[in-house]
Amino acid sequence: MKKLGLIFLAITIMAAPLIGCWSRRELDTLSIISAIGIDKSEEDGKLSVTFQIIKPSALKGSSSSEAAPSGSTGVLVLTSTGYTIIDAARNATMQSDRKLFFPQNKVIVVGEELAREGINPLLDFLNRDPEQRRSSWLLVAKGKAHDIINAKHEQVNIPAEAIVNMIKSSSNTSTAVKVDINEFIKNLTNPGSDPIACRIEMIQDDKTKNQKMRFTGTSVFKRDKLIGFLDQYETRGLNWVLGKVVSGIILVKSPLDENKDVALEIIRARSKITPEILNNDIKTIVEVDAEGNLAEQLSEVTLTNSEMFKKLEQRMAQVIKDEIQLVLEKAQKEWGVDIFGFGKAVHRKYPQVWKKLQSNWRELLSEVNVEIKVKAKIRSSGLSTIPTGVR
Amino acid sequence: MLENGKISNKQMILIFVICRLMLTMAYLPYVNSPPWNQDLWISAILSFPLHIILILPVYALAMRFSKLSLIQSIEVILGPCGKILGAMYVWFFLHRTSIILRELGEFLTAVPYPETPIIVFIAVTALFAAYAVYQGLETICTLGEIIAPVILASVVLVFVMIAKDLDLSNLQPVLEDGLAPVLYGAFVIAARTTLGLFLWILIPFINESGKIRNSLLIIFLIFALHLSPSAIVTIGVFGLEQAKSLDFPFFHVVRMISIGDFLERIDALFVGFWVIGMFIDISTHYYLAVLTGADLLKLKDYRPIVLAMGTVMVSLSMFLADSMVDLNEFLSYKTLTWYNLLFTFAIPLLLLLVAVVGKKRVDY
Amino acid sequence: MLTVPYLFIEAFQSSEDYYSRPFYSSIVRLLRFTAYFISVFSPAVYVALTTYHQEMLPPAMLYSLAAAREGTPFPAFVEAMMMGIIYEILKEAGIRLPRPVGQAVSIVGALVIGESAVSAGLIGAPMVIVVSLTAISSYVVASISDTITIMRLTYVLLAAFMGLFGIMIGAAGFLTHMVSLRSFGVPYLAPLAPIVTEDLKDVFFRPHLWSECKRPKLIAKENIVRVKSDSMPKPPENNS
Repeated sequence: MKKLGLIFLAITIMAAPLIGCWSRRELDTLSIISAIGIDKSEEDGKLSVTFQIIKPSALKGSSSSEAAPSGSTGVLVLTSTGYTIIDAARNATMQSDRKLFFPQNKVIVVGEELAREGINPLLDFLNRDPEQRRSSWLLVAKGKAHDIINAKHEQVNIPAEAIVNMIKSSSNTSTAVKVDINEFIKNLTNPGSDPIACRIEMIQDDKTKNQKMRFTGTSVFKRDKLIGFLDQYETRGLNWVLGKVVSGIILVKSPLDENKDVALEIIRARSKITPEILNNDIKTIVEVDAEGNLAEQLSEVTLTNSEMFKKLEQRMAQVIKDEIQLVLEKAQKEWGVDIFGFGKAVHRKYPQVWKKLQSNWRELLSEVNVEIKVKAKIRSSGLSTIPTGVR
Repeated sequence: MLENGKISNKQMILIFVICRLMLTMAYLPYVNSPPWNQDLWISAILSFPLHIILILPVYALAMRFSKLSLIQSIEVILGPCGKILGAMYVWFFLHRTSIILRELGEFLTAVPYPETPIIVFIAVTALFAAYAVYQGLETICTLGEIIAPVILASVVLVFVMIAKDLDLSNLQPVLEDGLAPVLYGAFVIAARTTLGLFLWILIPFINESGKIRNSLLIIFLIFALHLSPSAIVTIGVFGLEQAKSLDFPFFHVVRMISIGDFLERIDALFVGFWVIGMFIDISTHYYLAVLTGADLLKLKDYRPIVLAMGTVMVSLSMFLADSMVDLNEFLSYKTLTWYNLLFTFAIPLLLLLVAVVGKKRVDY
Repeated sequence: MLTVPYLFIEAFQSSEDYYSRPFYSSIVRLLRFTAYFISVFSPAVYVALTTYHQEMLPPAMLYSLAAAREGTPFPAFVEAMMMGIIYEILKEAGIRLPRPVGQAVSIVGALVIGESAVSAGLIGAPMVIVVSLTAISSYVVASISDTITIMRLTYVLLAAFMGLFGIMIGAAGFLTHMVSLRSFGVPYLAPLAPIVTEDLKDVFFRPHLWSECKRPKLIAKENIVRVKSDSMPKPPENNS
């Protein structure tokens, strides 16, 4: 009798799918979002959010009878306004026939104007929403984010994929930073550091009159307001200090032929930041350890002997030091933002002192004496020793 | 005898470990409790000796009356007025099972299934748990034996896979605020266990009662060895400020795993494993509640009251707290510590004193 | 030939295993376990992932699946149930076919139901793939293929109800049931539950014949020793 009751109960529960379930979403009722761009709207106090939505049927035109016309992209771009991001997202359903689906969203672009006013209110949605991933990349656009989201890329059907691939391959030059939401919020909430984000803009291609997306440096924030941009070499200087340089090309002048260049390829780099505090005098030692290869030389001098290598190493170290000096000038002295992690280093080594310094760290920052020590080493020279043409 | 099954020491270890681990896996409530800095992993390691200290009264009491279960030993010590104390313990287990059911529902509603009402999860899980309780103690412990290694291995796998996103400098400086908050934190962690009560109820059914001391040490060691890397990983990946503001820190850690571009977004799989672990956890607590209740009411078999208690539990889960925020406030270190300690430490200590002074002992 | 007690593990062991080399037989045995899990869980996991947990799928796969579902009229759950039932019908019909008609009917089954249904847009192509994979895998562990069918349909129902949570709770329920079964006094899932470490060597891979000197502990309670345990091949002691 008890068993019968249990079985009956189980069957009743199992009949529930026939009634309809609560969280069920069929695949063709989803608008899969791959990128969002947030701008200030023309209407006062509102945000204008642009969504890049994927059209799966346009991507896979093979199984069904209609063939996708060549040159069309697989995305649909929608713009909607609202007082907050989630408000705008729901308003977008009045234009799109499906509910927006965020988990595949990989790229978030914030417009420059909005970033200058303060990015903190936007981050709450990204932090709190269960569908949004914290590993999505955060970028700041020069100008309006709407243009970036609307842009097309010739190599892939989905432009957001192109942006993600560009971010991942930016380690080839190390002139861009890879910042996801998690990293950004970590730097924002830490009292001793300021966040950075990558910068993306649309470049006009003169010949074909097309606009293309390009990474051009780093956007720097003071607390949560955008304060300025670093260009490519300054960004690489920043990467040297943070120890995030993976690969890249350093150009030095050739030792015996001063108006020709030699290209050295960076293989790996490490950095170490050590603070030292002596009677209220804060000093930071930045040690950079870089290794490279001789990749290309335009001069016709034989560079592959140890004396020449030493000269090249010195020049390489000097170039690295210059790049770091550039970024220190701008960020530390001119803006007073700590994007290098100096505050975190002081906190780690001198926790008691940090408690006192914490509240006005940014004013103290410009007086910190930074000493840069670079050790450069060149390992090999590719597959040949004597350049072609020297006899 | 209410239950004819016997369990071995290994099964006891594994099932106790699961019951202790499951909630910390998803919620990790210790980030918001002392110490409020990155020394949480030191607290976790230091909780090992504190666990041992806090379980001593119950252990001594259980060993003294090693063939009687909880209610029966209370009645031997206090006589017929022990029934009130027994009823309090039945309430404690009912309450605890309802809390765990509610936490299961809250977690599943928060992330994977937002629109589903909580009662669906609670009712379905309670139904399947009732089936497991019907089958008896051996079934539940054998289930624990199969599932526990899988869950432990999956947690270790998560640690390995997230290792490349870890930033160990987030854990420095060490011992920033001194040792006192760390010890307080260890005390809070140790006070959350109810394993002593499990031992007290299940002691008549354990096969080799001589080796219980070693088994308990192994359980506490496994727990400390699991919580410490969890704390390291959570704070390492998110930094301290973020980890405090996240609702489910360890779950977010699993979300951040990304290996080789294709092994990403596996958090739903983790939820699946967690659900099975919670199922065993709920079945165990449910079984203990039912057994204690049947003991109190002097029934010959506990099966008739399984469904009745289940209904009470499901309703209690819904009435416990108005929302998740309310639930979290109850479960924060300020209230739950003392509530637990009353039942797992204070009352057994008093009973032990009465038993020693009154020279009450049951030896077979 | 019938042997008792019959344990769950015996469905994955076959006597041909012991005629081949141990390494290859171990791989085949692991393959059988994989086939079992594919056969039981595939349709349910497909329904759960595409209905509730779309974020678990890799992006390219998500776009292909979404494209395949664009024109189809039924939700994934109904498709899965329909295909499951049609497959069972085909299987039963195949048993009772007169032999001359056999070839034609199997072609009808494959072409009409598989190919044409997809081209007409009634069923998505991924569903056909999943059901065929399931069907073929269920023949790898032929002795329990009837229970596999029941479990599969139950899991699809549970998956449609609650997604991955439903599958896991259903797995917990089935596991509870299997753990409480006994075959002639021996627990059905021995040596996996309760864990008997000495007998675990024959579960997931096939051990060397010279290491099998003891019978399973729970079956042969006093009669444990088969042979003396000194059978590992080694060079002779006197150097001859």
